[in-house]
Amino acid sequence: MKALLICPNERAGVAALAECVPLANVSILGKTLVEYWLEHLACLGAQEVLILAADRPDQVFAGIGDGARWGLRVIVKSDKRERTPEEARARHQTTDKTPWLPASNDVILMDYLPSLPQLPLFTSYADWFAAAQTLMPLALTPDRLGVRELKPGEWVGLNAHVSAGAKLIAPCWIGERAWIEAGATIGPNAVLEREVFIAHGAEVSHSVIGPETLVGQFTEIRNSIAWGSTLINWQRDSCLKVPDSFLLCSREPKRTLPVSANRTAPVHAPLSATVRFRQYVTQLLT
Amino acid sequence: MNINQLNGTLRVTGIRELNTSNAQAFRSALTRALSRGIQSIEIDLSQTRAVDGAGLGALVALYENAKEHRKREVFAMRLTNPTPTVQQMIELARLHHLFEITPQGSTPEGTLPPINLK
Repeated sequence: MKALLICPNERAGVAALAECVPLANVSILGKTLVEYWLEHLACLGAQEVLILAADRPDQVFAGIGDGARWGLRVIVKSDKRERTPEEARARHQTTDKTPWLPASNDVILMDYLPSLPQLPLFTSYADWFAAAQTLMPLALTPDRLGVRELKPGEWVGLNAHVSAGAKLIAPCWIGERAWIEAGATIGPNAVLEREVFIAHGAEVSHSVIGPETLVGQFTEIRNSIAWGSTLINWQRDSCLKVPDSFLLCSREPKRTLPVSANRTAPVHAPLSATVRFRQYVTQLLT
Repeated sequence: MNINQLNGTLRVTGIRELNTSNAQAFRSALTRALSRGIQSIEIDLSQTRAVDGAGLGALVALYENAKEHRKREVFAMRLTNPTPTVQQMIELARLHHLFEITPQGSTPEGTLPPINLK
């Protein structure tokens, strides 16, 4: 059985979310959107999934590989623009005689979560936040290794560290390898994605903190989506790049060329030129 | 930047940015303008496009300095009409608990209620 997924391309309502990764790769409670859909299709009996991606298909492929994790054969295909399900059906199903999943699950535009079809994800930041909040009590599925429910409505992921002096207020979701220092308050309605660092005395409520984000000491994040140094107020629909890393920043190290690479480059350059010159002389002589 | 004094209130308008480049100058200018009769400072942020930690630090330092010199008097500071992004920075640094904030469009210009003196 075969199925086709269409990755959402540009969405003006949530443009800041797609700055670092394509929307299909945006993390929601520890999994990317495309991962949720591949799981869903595998459960429905799909064996082969074609993914059409107009926005950064290389990143979409890097996130899921060949689909072996789900027992699927996944092919990521670059497309010029986002197709409608009808267009994709006409283009791919007519030429392919392999059996497809029944209609409505055969071709899917990934702009909602499989378990929450009534909640659009990318119309506005408020809608995206609402979907993440609605998903929270449904997200503790058997495949999530190491996630514990400490108290009703307080979920903590694998290898997450919550200091004894930190306060959790349900409902809240702490992603894997997150670190919460003493004096911090998380919740209510807070989602921390993987590897988030919450410094001493910070408060996070009615908000989502994106993966690998550092929230500085004594800061307050409320009604917001914080993604690296980007801070979005989902209530007022305003977006800010925080200029001070001690308040809010990405934990991802800046990728710079190692010093050794700079040193080796000039050494190799004359050698390769010599080799090319020798080859040229040899060609002339023979 | 314009600084005016009226009925015990120091009004500051026309701040284009409040960051590392001008935070020190901003603080010095306002500290000089603080006279004995001043009971409140009102800073209009409607034209402010950029604020960073140094700018917010200057606001706190100004507030602390003014309170220090008015130990026996009441004193308050109000930030008016911050743009949405400036308001986000103020809230991120928790300064909305310290200062009175009058959001954009909440009251017509010139009809602001008296500052709640602490």
